[in-house]
Amino acid sequence: MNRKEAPVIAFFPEASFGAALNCVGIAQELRAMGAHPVFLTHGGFGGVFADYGFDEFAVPVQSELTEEETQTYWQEFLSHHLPHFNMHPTDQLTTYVEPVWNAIVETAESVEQGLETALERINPDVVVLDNVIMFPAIVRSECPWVRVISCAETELPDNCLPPYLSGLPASDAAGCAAFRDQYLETLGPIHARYNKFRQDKGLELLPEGEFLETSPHQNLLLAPSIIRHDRDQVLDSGQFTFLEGCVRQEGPYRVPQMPRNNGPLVYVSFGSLGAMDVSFFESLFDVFKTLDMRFLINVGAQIDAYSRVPDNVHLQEWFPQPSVVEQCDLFIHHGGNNSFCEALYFGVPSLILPYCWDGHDNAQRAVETSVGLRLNRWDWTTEQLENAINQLLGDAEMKSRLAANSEVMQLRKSVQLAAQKILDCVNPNRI
Amino acid sequence: MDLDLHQGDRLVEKTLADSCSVSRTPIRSALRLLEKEGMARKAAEGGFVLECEPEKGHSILNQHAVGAGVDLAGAILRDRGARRLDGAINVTDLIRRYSVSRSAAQRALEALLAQGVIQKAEGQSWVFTRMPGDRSGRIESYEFRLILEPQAILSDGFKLDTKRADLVRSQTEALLAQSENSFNSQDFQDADLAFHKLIARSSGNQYLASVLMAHHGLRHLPGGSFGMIDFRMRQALDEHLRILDFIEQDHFDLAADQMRLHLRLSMHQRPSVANRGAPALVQATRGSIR
Repeated sequence: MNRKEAPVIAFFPEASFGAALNCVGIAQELRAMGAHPVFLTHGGFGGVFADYGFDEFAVPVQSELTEEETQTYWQEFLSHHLPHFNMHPTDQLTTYVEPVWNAIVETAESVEQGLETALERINPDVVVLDNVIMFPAIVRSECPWVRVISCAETELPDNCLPPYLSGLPASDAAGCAAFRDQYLETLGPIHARYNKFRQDKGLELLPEGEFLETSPHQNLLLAPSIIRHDRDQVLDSGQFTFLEGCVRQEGPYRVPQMPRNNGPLVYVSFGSLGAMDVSFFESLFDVFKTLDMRFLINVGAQIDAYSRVPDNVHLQEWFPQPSVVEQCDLFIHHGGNNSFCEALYFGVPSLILPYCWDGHDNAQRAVETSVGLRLNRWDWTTEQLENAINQLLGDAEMKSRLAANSEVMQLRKSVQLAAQKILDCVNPNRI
Repeated sequence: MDLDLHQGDRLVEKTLADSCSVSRTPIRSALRLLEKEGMARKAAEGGFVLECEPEKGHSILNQHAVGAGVDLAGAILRDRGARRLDGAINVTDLIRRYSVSRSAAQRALEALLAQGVIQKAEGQSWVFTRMPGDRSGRIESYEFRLILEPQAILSDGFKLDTKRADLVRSQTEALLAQSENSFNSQDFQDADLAFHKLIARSSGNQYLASVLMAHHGLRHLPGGSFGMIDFRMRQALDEHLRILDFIEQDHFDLAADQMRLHLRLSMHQRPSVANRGAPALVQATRGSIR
């Protein structure tokens, strides 16, 4: 391949659909601009990017789980953690956040050797890291790298922002301080372990609570202006680029006829992890069947577990989400940043029932900026859910403001902007 | 229905009724509907003549089936596919849900039994069998096809139905000519079935042909809507054309190899569940997790 004609851009998204599909949107644009995007993949994600036409390189880990072991891992993960999804963010720190960070650090350690080998083989012009942790092999490759923050903006801390994963308003100074202290205390041993790993690999230590430095080359933040925070420390516009949206191209979606086919269209998705909670979805059905609306629900891999689905509800295990959101009147989701930003991109109000991670932060931000409502998983009632749906569908002022904002977001063409910022990092003299 | 129909063929009431395991009355209604939609015309000597490709006529009938009361069995299958029904059904449930007579409900159950999608259970109940479109049956369906479809191409006396092959090719090329991210997955599924049925029909081994046609008939039924990405749909259509190219050049070994590759690529499943720091799970976790 002629490197000058087609710079190789190696994407390394974390093993979650949000980051993966966010990167697909940017990679599609890079391909259209003549670059050669490729994907470094974690186990199990092989084929996801090939289905969009991209080359993949599986990054081996030190001890790969067999299919049976992975199955057992998830059975145990879900039986252990599903109850934690109904907890307050503070209570999740020790029950959920700590073990997940532990797993993230373990992943970073176990892929290091394989990632180093893969980067040597691919010899990319730029590495694009959409993750919450640094993999030392990337820094040591001496290749320009771009950090993508496709989580909520709170991932990049600032004195004016509430703490990451807290779901708190910035105005609650005492609450924020208490959460921050507890977060640092809880993660202290894990952070120390990670810093030791960095040190062993020749990287600088990071301040407490931080697992990923900002890139000296470019940082892309998926934080549309309508929900963006004011920061104490203004970010350097040369090194940090805010994206209004990062929506991938998908095929069209024909809304199916349902036996009860009247009323507004509501799309419901809680991500692949949320979709494992079958009983939660069944409790939603009890409300949905009483409403004169149509519901499209992403139930993921558990689709065969359902029966007696209401006549105004249609289930699928996968949707071309951008095409669906574009057609719907309301999006009920878990506050995943991709889902939240897609709702904003298409001018659709969000009803957020977060269950973990930055979903809490986005739910709080949706309320603060009047682009949606929040319900807590631990105490919502059927009446509250019905009222929230009706309120959002009947809020003409919000609808009009979201429509105007959507127009602005789409005009900004942020996917092209992201792709260009990545290409700007290519060193034309690199061999 | 798996009759070997082509545009211009006569539509014989009795044959159609036998093929669908129904009486002549719903067939008559279906023929009148096709005539109204311009898909069939009255023949001078009586009866009707097919004026479109069979797949298109089938699609029109599907769309009108429930409203016209023609296809209760189809409505049951659609509701089963949409998970609106339990795994077991009985006549009383059907009468209540679809406001039909007992005899109509029984006829529908008999039609479903003939299609192999339900089995008699204890008492008055009938249970749905696992379908190729069900998530839990999908991999097994691909494995089954991986064994038989290449063999269909390699079978002695394999003879491509050239008239039908031309139609499949033009349908495929028309889809591929559409702009990126513009065609619907249902259009793809129609083209995909037309291609694979063509291969099955062309087999020189009648048992291979019939078992594959029966399986494709089940794949055609509503219920499986797992969604495919535009790029992969186009790639799969290209693979269909490549297989046809090899067959037309008498390179049957290459065509069979290409079929294996095509099915292996198509059976790939995206992860069932993923989370940061965790190994993504590709196979579905068995049963519901509560």
